[in-house]
Amino acid sequence: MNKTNKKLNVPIKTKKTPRSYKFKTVSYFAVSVAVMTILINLFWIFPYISTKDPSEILGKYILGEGVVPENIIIIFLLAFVWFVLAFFYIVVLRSLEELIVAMEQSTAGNYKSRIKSFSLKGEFKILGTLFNRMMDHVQLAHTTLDEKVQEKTREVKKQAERLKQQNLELQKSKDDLSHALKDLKSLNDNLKLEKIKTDSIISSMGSGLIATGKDGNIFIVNKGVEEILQKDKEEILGKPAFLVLDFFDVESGRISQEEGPHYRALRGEAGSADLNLRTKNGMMITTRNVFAPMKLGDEIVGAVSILEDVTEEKQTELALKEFVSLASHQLRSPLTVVNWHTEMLLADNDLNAKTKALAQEILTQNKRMQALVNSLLNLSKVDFGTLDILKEQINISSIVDGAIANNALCQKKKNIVVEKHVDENLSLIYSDPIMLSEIFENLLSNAIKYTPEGGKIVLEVRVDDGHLFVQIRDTGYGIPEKDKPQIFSRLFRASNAKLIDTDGNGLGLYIVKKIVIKLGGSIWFESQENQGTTFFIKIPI
Amino acid sequence: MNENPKKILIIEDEIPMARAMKLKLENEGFSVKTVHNGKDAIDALDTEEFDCALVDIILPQVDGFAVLDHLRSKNQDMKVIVLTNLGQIEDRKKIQKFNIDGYYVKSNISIASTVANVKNILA
Repeated sequence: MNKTNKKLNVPIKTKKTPRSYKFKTVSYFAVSVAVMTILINLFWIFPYISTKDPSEILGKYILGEGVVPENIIIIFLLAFVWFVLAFFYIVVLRSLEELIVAMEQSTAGNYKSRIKSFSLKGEFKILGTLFNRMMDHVQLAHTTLDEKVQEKTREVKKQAERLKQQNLELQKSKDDLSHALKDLKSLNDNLKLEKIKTDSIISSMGSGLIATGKDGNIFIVNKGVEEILQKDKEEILGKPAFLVLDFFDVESGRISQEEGPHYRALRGEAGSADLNLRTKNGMMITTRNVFAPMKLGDEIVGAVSILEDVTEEKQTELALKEFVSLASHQLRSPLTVVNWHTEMLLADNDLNAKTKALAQEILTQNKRMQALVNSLLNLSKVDFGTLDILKEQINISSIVDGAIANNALCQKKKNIVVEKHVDENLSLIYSDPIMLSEIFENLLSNAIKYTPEGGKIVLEVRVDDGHLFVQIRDTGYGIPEKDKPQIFSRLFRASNAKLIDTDGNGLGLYIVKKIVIKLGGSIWFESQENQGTTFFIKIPI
Repeated sequence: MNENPKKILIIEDEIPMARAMKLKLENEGFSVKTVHNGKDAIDALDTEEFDCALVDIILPQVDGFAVLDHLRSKNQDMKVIVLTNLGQIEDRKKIQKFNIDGYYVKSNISIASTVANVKNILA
């Protein structure tokens, strides 16, 4: 029968306690007694026979002729032998049997097996004691070994668990890596595709594209640049941008390296610059450069710019500007002549009232024409994006006076009072006098136009916190509620204004708002129908 | 009558305008000379002294910018008012460089206001 060692968890072979030894020992003992009896009898018979006549001996024995000393000796000898054998059995064989059983048990794995020493005698007791001690050591060694084995087993198990876990993790990592590799491959494919697309876009762009590294050397260039510069890619790539792009400022001539678009971008600037550019064959063209820094996080790693040949566009713009300039000059000159002469006529005291009235009408209509010309010229500037600002130190009070003077004729005709309140502490301000004149003249003209006879207009100007604040308040017809949202729209006229004055063109407030915005300011109004309107302007100065 | 009237040079190719302005200024007691092209303007500036010049920009032969350049090369102190119908920013930028005392769009300013401005800067 196989049992399991609980501590070791391994099967051990056990043998039945060899009880047969006892019977064997008994049989040995019986055989020994028999043998000894025979031997003693032989000892007794043969020497006796050898010395006596056997029939004599037998006769004596049978006839009972007394016990001979030899017989007594023999009986004592037999008893002695029996006792010796019995002693042998008790002392030696039983002890041996105990030893054998204990050894059998110990070899069968029962390290607790001990000899009951009290049943042993003499040297066997010592032997048993020694055996027991040995077994104590063996048991202790076995227990220690067992514990160590168990400890080692636990460690091995833990190690195995760890290895299993690590194996699982490794497997997972392997799977993840496999997925990552797949993703990477897919990403790589996508990147390749994107690169092809980007390269295709860059090369098919009509405009030129130049990218430089942090050192200002060109590393990307497309066909557009080759065409504009009339240079091959090989002549451009790897060279500093300032050597390849020979830029000149439209007004001040050749620009320095630091003023070049790429170097401005490398300093973190982004913007646009129109610059003349000398091509390989020495031709000067006008280019528009839109530039920006290339960033990796917060770090500037290069610069990129779009280069466009805008020579034709610039020529058209220049021609347009010249036309507007010429048109404005040609249209305004006769108006000025009429204005000035009519003005002088009106100043002539010798003129009779009828003629004066006629002259006044000429002046009024001429001023209408003048206002229309100014509006159209300003509109063209708005449309062409040439409504530019030129700031200088100006006296705002004289600009307000000019606007009042230019509207004086109509104002007097309608008997409207114009009050001017300009902050006395107001010194020179920094703004565009032409644009401010346009604003004041337009708003004052509107206020006069849409205020009934005998009304009042108050014009207030003050400076506060770096801003010019203007209020033009009238006691006029006001703006109908439904028209308010569109009042600054191009060509829009309020419904009541159309009925009151049929000559308006719907451009005045549109242009005023454009100018105010161009000056960085804002304009708004408050109005109540039949009570009046107040326009507010706030412009940084 | 002022015995030492201030001398004004009107540089204007539009003769009616020059004439009206001359008349108006003389009525105000100024001594006025008119020229109608840039070349005559330079000659006048080289031969005579003026307290103030009213300069148009679009002029035959030599334009107003060249006249201003010549004028300022000779005289930094003379009062100068530019009267033009040019309103483009480029023209205004160029004009600003000549340290002028006034810039007006002719059609936007009355003759009375112009004379008042002349009187102001010569006061």
